[in-house]
Amino acid sequence: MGDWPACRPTTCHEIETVSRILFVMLHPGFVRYYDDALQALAAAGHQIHVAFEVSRTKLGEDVTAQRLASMSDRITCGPAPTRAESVRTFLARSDRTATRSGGAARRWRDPEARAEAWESFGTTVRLALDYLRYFEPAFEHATALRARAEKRLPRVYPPMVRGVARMGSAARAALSRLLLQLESLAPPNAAIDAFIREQAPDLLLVTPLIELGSQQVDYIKSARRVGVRTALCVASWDNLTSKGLIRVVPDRVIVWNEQQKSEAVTLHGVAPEQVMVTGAQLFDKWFTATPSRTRESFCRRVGLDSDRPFVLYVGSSMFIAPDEVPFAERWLSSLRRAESSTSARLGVLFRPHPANADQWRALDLASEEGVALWPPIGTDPTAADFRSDFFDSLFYSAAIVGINTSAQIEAAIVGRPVLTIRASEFAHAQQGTLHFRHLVGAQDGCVIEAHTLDEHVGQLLAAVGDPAPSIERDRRFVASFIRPRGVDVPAVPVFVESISALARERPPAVRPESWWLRATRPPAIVLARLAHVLAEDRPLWILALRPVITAAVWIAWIPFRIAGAWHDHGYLRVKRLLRATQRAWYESTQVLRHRAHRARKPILSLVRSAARRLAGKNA
Amino acid sequence: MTIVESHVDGHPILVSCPGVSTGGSIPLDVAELLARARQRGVAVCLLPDSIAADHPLFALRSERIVRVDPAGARGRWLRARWWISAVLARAVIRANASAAVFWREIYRELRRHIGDERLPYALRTRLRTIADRSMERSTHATGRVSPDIRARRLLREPLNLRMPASLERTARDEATRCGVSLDRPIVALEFRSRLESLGPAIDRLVRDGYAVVRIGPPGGGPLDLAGVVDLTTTEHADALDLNILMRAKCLVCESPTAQQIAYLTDTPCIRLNVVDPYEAYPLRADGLFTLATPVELNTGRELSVEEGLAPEHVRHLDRFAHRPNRSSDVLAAVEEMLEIVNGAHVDTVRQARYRARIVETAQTLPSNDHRRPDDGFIGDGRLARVQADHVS
Repeated sequence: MGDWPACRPTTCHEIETVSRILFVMLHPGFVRYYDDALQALAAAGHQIHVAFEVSRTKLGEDVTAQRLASMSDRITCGPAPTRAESVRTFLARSDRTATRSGGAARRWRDPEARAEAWESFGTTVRLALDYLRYFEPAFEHATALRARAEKRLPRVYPPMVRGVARMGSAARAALSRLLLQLESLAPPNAAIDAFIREQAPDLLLVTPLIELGSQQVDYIKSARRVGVRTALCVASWDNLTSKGLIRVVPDRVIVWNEQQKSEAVTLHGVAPEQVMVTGAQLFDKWFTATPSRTRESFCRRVGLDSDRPFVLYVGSSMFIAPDEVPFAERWLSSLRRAESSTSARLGVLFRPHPANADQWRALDLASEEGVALWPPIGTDPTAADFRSDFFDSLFYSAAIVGINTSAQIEAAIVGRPVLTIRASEFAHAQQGTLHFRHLVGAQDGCVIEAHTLDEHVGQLLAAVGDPAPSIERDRRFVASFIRPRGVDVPAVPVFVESISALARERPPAVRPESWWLRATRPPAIVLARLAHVLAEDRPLWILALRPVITAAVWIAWIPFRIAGAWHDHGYLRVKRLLRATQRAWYESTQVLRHRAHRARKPILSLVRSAARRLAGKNA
Repeated sequence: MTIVESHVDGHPILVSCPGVSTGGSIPLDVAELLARARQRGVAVCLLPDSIAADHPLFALRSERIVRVDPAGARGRWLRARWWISAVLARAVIRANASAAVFWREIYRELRRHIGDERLPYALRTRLRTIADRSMERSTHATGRVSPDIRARRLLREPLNLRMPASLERTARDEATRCGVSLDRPIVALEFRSRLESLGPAIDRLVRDGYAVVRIGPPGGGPLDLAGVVDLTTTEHADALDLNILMRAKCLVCESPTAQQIAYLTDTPCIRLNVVDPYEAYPLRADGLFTLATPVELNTGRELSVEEGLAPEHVRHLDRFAHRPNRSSDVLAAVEEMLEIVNGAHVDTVRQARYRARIVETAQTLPSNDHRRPDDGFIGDGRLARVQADHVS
């Protein structure tokens, strides 16, 4: 699996712990970028705790994390401290179509409400910063990326940011500085401080940090306050150009290559001496991999003729190619139309992107000969043979075609001709992204690009006929982009060595918060409250109307309350009193009646005797 | 579409401004206006906006419908009248839309309080009732923000339009330049995706002596087949496309715009790979369509022809992928179209059943849905026999 010792639980006990590393990842999906490196770090004696901010089960990522933890007892995984309001909750709150009931309104002084307000404030400012960066000249053509960043911001802000950004670079720089100052106003996250203190790491690693509105900056800030060294591990080749900003620069930024180093310096303002170039550690396994089965067996499995060469079409992600199937069909038909014996013989294997596979259900291959789709849609990407299957697909193919995907990098490592076509429907993902230029660069790019399908088919047939120039191109690309320290130097040991060196360094001095920040915070809570309210992304008039509606509801509460209180207390008492009165009346009347009854007989006898006496006298 | 009734020299006249900026479909707007004028026996005045003014559609004339193009002060007056009516109509729509938003926001605001457990249960129940009523008001207001229901019944009859001589000459010159023979029977083709699925159908048309001319905007690559002239790869005047459509025995198309222009030019039309049957149902008796097969994205299950009519499909088209027609289906549908063109077509029982069923299900669409039938009429066209045969 590589040139470093594999970690086994039995041997790990025997090595003394070199250092403690806390690795904060956004979600378990990032494990696949670092699984080999983490195992190697554990084998080198480091104790690693991987904390996930979001627990996601998409594409079986939770399984990947569990598998990682089971590989070594020096690696543990767990959740990061819960946020008062995560970016996901922030975005969910701004969903205008939502019709769910809200919870009880919190009191103004409620600490939870205050924490939520500060989280909203921080996220808003970070999202605004991320949006602002897409007005820089480098992102002139990145309309889709800009639109994506704009979509995340509550609607009240983009016009303001846009207005300032279009005033020129000085205005952009001023706004950026202001937003960074505002971002630093957010108070320290006590839970994160406590988490870092509890973990007591020698080194804090963070990835990806640059997601739009990412809250991971709080880890960097907390580590500074606690006195822990920090580093950002740049996970993938597009991270520095297609996401957000590194808003708080950690002590070190670990990148794959010089191109990324240049991006970190020019686009994120990182000092060159803070950047460490290690190579792409996640691709090491591709250099030593071997096919898991024979070509005949593989072709039989996927449904292709093993006697004919085949082209592998690799699908792209949802953002890059939301509607890829019609294009793939057009590509296939132009390949079939080409008047060439090679073209007629070529088989075609479609391999959808695992996170964008559903749309490929529309692909109708019933009438196509020598064309297959593999793996079947719905295949578990965490399955044991998924990766080996992918390698076999690359290894046995004659060439690889795709729009803009990391599979093209993997194809270059395997040493196959890699091609692409510039298509109008993918302009947002090709000329509209900076990372695409790494693929098609005239000097170091690995991908042969065409501007029309006919031109592409010509290039493809030429590359299949004579792959040598393409392989040379791949080699140059790999030497520059994947293994900048030499094609034969694996990146994982370099990564491990860099991390170990960082962990060995003396911890930085504790950097407490400045007094002016603490002084500014109490009045700034008004801004935080405002950001919290505006994050709902509702029309401004409803915010003005809200106190009126709230007052109306609470005024309506009064009669309901009185009625309730009357029902609970007054009504019963009066009822009881009435009953007692009735009873008293009833009982008193009964007694009187009884007495009257008893008094009637003597009175009657008296009257009768008096009458008799009177009658006797008269007689 | 806003239509204003006015008078010119004492004669009644219908005035409208079909165009891009009005947010409608130009061909359908023009067709509907002309059909209304014909029905009422009045003249018509078209005021194309600046974006669409040069489109040759506005140059078409009819012997039965008088077109008035007033210039000078009268023209400005008519335009001003139409503009005021359109602004008022738009203001009403906007007011309804604002009312819908207002009640919806009140609903959402009340929902916040409904979740507040400090409030007594009776009050929360009362608030829920008020909130539900607000939502009803919002839905009601949304219903009033409806686009006009198309006068489908009026559009079922041909309009008998013709091209002015000057445009006709331009089109002829362009045709000669592009290598199109206007003397042969023509089948117009407007198609961009999966061109190879047309192969057998085009072979059949060419065998029957038709010249197949591909028109429309470029895209989908060139169509290099014997007997096909592909105009999408050469620069040419719009008048040529329109002229070809007017002369064509039939149109084989994929886009709604082409289908709608065919209503103006009275060209029998077959529309392929239809995703939404309500939107595409042909109004004319010489219309035909085929459905793309919906595939559920989550499960990969193919929907039957009847399941494609279900609200779950037409309201959530993004939850489905749509598999285009196979070449055998396209061939069968084109052959059926030739039967219609030759007057030898009779609807099958299943085609009639599908029509009855789509009318029935279209009635369940929301009241503000422009795809609803016009007083129980959705169209005289039909689903292609090759697919209608699967209707139970």
